[in-house]
Amino acid sequence: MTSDRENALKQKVRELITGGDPDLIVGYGKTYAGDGVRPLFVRTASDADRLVWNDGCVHNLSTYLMREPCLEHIRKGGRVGIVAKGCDVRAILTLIQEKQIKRDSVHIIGVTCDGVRDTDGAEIQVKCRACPWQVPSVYDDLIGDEAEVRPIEGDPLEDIKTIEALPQGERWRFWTDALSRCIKCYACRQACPLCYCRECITEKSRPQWIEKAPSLRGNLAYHFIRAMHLAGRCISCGECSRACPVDIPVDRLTRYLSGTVEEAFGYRPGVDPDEEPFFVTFADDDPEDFIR
Amino acid sequence: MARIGVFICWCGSNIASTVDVKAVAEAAADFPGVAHSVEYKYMCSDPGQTLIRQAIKEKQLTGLVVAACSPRMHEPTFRRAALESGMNPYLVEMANIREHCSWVHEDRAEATTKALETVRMLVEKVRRNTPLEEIRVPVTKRALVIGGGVAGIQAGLDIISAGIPVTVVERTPSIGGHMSQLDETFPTLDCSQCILTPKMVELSQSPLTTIYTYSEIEEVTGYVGNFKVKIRQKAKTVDHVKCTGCGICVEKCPAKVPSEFECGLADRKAIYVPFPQAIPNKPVIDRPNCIYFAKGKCGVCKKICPAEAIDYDVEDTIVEEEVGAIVVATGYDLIDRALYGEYGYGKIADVVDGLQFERMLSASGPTGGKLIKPSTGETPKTVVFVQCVGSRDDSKGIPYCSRICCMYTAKHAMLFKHKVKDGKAYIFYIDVRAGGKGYEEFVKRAVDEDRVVYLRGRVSRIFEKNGTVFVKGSDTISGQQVEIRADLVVLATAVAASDGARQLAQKLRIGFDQHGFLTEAHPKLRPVETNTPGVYLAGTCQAPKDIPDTVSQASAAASKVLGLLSSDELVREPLVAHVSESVCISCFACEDTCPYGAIERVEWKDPETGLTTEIARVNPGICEGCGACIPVCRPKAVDLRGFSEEQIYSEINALSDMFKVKR
Repeated sequence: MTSDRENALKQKVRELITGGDPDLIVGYGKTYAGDGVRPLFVRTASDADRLVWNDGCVHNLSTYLMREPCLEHIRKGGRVGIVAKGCDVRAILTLIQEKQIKRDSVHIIGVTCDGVRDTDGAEIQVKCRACPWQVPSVYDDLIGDEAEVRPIEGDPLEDIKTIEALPQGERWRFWTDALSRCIKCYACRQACPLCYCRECITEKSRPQWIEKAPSLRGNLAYHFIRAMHLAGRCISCGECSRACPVDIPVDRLTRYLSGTVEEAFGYRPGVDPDEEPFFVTFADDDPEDFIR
Repeated sequence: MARIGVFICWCGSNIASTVDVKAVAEAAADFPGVAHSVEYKYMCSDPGQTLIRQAIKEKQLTGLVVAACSPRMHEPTFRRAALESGMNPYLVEMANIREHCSWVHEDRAEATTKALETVRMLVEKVRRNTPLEEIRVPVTKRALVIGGGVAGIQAGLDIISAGIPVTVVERTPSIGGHMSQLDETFPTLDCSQCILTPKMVELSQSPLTTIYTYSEIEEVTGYVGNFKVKIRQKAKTVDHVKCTGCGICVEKCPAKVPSEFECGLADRKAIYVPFPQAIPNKPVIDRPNCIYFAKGKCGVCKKICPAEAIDYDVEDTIVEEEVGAIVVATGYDLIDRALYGEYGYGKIADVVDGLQFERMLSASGPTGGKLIKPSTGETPKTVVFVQCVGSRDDSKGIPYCSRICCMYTAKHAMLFKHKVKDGKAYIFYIDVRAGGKGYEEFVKRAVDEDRVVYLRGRVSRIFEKNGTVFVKGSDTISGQQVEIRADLVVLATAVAASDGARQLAQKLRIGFDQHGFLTEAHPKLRPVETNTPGVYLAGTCQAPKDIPDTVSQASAAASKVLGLLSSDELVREPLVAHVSESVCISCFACEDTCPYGAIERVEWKDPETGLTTEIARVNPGICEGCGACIPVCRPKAVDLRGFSEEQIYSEINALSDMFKVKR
């Protein structure tokens, strides 16, 4: 089934790139060594033949939309094609909601996804087992069959609930232990499709809200501020944690806050590209019972 | 090198009795950057200000912290003092050690510590203050008045009297408002029409006035001195240029509906002039009730009109006006009659509200000024008046007093007694509130001369039995339950915010309270201003009030408008937001969040890439410095002058021991 989709994907991308619109397509290719998967920028028909589709296609490629070479391509009026799983599409739609790209600037090649496994893992990720977005919600082309959807298993918030159930002191210890490992490499930020600020607040020096040295206090400030900046925006792709070289489960913070926003305001980011981001909308009946 | 002067005020004993001002002044002298620190009994007084002015010069101060009252009180005073000594006024900060400290704490030691910490924070802030220049914006010398009742008319007249043109927008087909419905007015009993209609004429005939009746505000953009207003002129269906006002169409129109002006006591036609003294005295067609618009047939008015003024095809039009100031005078409504089912209001014919009673009293009303029982047409001999129907009743969600009912009920009872000499008038009241000039005397006259009987207590029920209306209530003075057979019952129903006031407030970006009354900037010291500069309030849109107070407030609002429009340009505080261009990520969350519409989109060329992008810019003429844009900007591209992140950060740092150790 996977190879069917891979072939269909290659064919579609070849077709698009030969047609010249879009003339830049981001997809997945093979790593130089081993059986790994890495991002691949397709510009020619022969590039398209190097595309792969398998359960190692874990990367959320939409992060490249806000980085070069795609960003300049879009700014100059070009269109960028992107191979996207259901979860990735939510990031693209959030970028559209936040006025970063126009819907017309991207050609979404959605792929029906059976779940991806972690780079080292044998099984598909927990988030994939409970994924309601196996078929992308919005796309220009769809690779795969809408009918191929697996039943949803498990609770996507299970890992968060485990921490939430801990007594406060242990919870604090969990996070101080985890975050004291942070080396401020910012891989989480670079992997995140929604961390697209030109100048991150971590780089601000007047005033310096976040200490630059990788000490616990600065680490806490960085991760807590990042979590706040993703509240109601995080689309739960988990790329931040996957990118972390010291295995900090940072996505639990951002996913937790997005859950809080959904609970309070019934808002889910990246579902409807025409919806206003929740932070800038106001309704008379917005709940305010959490304001004390 | 910073040379900050710290000035600690005693505020007489207001601060000094709780805060050890001498200790604060001594300790502040040792803060980094402080060159001078003194205390004085009344810093705002002339000798106090002289102290500041001299110190600025003698000690070559580079910034001031005045530890005294709220900046709302005396910040302008001390800024002015600084300016007089050649210091930029925005290098002055106030530490509020009165409202935030001495007034709210009892423990002297703790209050002194808090005062000291507050001063420490402000010293750190002022070290990072930069001189700011005031913003100057041009002014459009025209005012808009929303609402053509007595408040709007008075405000309009006062504005044109100074030679400033005025645009009046009125929702109904005529100006005049509720006052045109009234018979005689307390406490002098002069005829409402006789004192109002000349004002209506004067306003409408001035060459400086533009009146849009049957119109509503569609959209308001812009800012103080420079508003752009879109006005929706509802389709009148009658061309008022051609129409001669002969009235033959009204006479021949076959469709009848209850008249709003007569409070439902009489009918009007679907094509109508609300009342004979209306301005303009030309009809409009009420389309939902017009037979032609409902069924496509009839067309009598069009056929008969000698001026060919009827045009069924006209649509609403939008006119745009540019104005420098806006007076909101949208008036009031009475509460929904469904709120008082137990009083039979709307169900029993002989139970009416105060405005209906006014129409019955009026010589131009549906009964020609004759008092009748609506059920039979007979003259009522016993009339029961009930005050506080809805007002001051938490259970109905109206905790406030409607302010006018005590007086108009006394007036009603008095006028009834004048018309029906052998009649009996009873008034159920909770308190009689007659606080105005000549009001108490007026009520006393009703009791002493006109023998009106006041019963202190609430009415529990009003019901009809065999064609007779009974009012059941308690007389708490005699301690008895009373039941009165009434020919007519008049309910003093509560005054409520005008329908649509909230929506209008949102368009104007001004506040309103839980009841829909519009909010003034300060209940005592800025009672006619709103929190949006250039928008003022007049009359009952702000809170229930009587005619004298309404007219006073309208004149006050007009004087504010004239003050604003008297200069060619406006000077605004420079405490506004600004965007750091290279940091802005064009998400425009600030644009969506800004309550004043101050964010614009501008093209910006990135010097690094040479590419042009659209970024956010703050229009300093509109920005109010509220800071709502700051928290929604993730990369912190927006900052607020005078309250910059760096200033706030240093204040927090000054306070936090944890940070202090690190630094």
